[in-house]
Amino acid sequence: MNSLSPEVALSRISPELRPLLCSVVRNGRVGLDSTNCLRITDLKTGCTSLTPGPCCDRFKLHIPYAGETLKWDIIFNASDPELPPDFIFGEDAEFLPEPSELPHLVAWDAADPECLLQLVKELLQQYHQYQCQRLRDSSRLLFEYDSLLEDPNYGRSMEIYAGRKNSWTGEFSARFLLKLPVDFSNIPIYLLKDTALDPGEDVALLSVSFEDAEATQVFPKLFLSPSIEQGVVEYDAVGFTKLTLLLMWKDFCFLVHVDLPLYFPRDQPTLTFQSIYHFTSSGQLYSQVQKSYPYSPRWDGNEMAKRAKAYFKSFIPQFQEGAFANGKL
Amino acid sequence: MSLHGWVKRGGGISLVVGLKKYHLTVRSFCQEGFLLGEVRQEETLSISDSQISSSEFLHVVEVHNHEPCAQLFSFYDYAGKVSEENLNRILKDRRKNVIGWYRFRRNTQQQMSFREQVIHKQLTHILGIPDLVFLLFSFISTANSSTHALEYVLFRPNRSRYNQRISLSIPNLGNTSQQEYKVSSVPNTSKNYANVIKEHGAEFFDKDGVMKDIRAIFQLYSALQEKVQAVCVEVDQSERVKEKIQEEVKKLKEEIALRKRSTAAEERRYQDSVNTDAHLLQDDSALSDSSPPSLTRVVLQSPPLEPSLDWPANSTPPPLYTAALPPDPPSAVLLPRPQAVGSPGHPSPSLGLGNGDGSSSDSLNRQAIGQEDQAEEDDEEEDDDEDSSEYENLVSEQLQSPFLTETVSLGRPATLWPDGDTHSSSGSS
Repeated sequence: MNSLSPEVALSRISPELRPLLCSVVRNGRVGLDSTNCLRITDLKTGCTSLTPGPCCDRFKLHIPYAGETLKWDIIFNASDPELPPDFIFGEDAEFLPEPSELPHLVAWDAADPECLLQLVKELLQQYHQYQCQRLRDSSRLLFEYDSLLEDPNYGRSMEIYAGRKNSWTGEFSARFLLKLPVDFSNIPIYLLKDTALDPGEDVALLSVSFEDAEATQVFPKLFLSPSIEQGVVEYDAVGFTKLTLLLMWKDFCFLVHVDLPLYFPRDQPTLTFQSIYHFTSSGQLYSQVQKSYPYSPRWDGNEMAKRAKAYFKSFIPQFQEGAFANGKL
Repeated sequence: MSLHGWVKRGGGISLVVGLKKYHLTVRSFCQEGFLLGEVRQEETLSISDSQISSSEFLHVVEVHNHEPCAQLFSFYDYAGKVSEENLNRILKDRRKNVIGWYRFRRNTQQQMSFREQVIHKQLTHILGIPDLVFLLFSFISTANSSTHALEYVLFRPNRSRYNQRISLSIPNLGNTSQQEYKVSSVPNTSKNYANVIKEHGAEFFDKDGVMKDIRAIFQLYSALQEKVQAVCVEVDQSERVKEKIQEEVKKLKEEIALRKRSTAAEERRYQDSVNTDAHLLQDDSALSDSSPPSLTRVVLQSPPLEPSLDWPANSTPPPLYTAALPPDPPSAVLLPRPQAVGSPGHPSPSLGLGNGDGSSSDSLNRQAIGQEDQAEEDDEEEDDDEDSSEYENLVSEQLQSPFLTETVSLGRPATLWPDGDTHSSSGSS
């Protein structure tokens, strides 16, 4: 598979089709994983070999979806660029969307540069419904899906990919990609060397893989958008029991280590505040451990984060004074 | 080249395709159109060593022609919705001949696209063809344009999703196997061809469109069949007559064998009695000068053989025992002393009874029995010959019986023992 940069791919596309492809390769962010753009590969032409280029009018579009990458063939006609494209949905040969529910196909407007991108989004919506239908082969997974669907936090921010059944064992697997409802407004400004690169929307995605139809083997995985990853120094990606954040309050930067105990949420997490400027007499960074702060095991995750955030705001001034008083620069 | 061919489904598929290059390869964009032809069903029965009979059911689709569309989206809109009005305008009166449709697109996967599937479903419903086929042509070139390949795949999308592709073979392009016989001809739809046939066909075809020579051959064949049937009847009748005659011959042979056995038994009894008389005559020869009467008067005559059974019509009947005896017997005439069969002086009739030609009557009996057991295909001449040989044996027996020649000789009479040797007997009784 030849992976081309967007500019190279555009240069090979037939000039009449280039505007449609521009919005796809440059602004094409579809689905929950908006950090990954759509990619174009395998550019080919439907013209004769004697036709002078650039005349590519058919290609393979890579679409991130539910942790997978869909590879759809899109077929235009360079000799008739006003005509809508045709699609081959790769390995999903059984996926047959309803044309009447594709407004940008029914009323295809080749002059609209966004038309192709919008059509892809509409197809993706039907693809999502198609995958949800496949969950019906497993009552356990269908139950999980229905439960999430009822939750307003996840109902509209979920992508499902139902794996193909193993022809030998009959096993069925699936992956849920959930967008976590997290408030990132207080995350520091995104710091990147290349300020021209758009980090995209701040998002935290949780991927849950079910390796069998009875959900006996579940593998979660957390995906953070680049800007969020910049604020998170490190975290335990296996057990999710440790988290270190780099925070700033009135130009004072400090680290907060969050340690979840074994019997969390019954037991309260430990918060360790650490200055990045001051050292103790023993050469360690000045830090203070807090185990008694407002906490209740009955709070949900968001409530806990909200309360912790409020505590940070109240405690930081005190910590800063202590760091200046007891620490050495 | 034009698009012609046939497609077989079921046990096997074969597609003969000749593509119209002008329509498919010269033009730079996708092409589509309809396949015209007819559908029929064939059942092939085959016999092999492992199975007595196996039948193969084939669904044959013949592609006679094609109807290209002038451009894409000529009978459907952007959403793939088929317009029946436009469809009829393209197909006109050939709608009933549609058996599928095709599309040609370059450098794409050999897989039905989204729009093609949508259109196919609607065409199946509108045209009323449950097994509508879709033929996909794809033209693939290498990056440096050194190699170009025209590929084709035939789909049957209305069947199960696991069996949509139909394998193809092209018998008339490439290495044609000797075993691939064309079982039907593809009709020629050319108007010029039809006009020529119509103009000159009367010389070769009769009013029904059948070649005259073929009809004449069929008539000859029918006449031959009738003759063969008549000959079969005659053969059947003659065979029955022959069978009946053979049965009669068999019965007669059995009677002959029975009479032979009885005749032989009587002969032996007679010989025994003659021997006894000879002994008596020799004993009395010193006492009496009267010339004994001829033995011919004393010897009992054996019952004459029936000439109709034993002898051919022109042959002379066997001489009686009296004719075989010499005229001057020296002994007195005595009545022969009857002796029972099996007595010590009476040789067993089944052993050692020579016939002069080395065979024995027992062998004659066996021969007679063997003739009874033979199949009907025995030659009657051979039977006649064997029968005549039996009669000759009987004659030779009459003429050359050692009993007769030895009993009339002067001197000590001899008795033929079962072992074939002559032994002298002394007053045996």
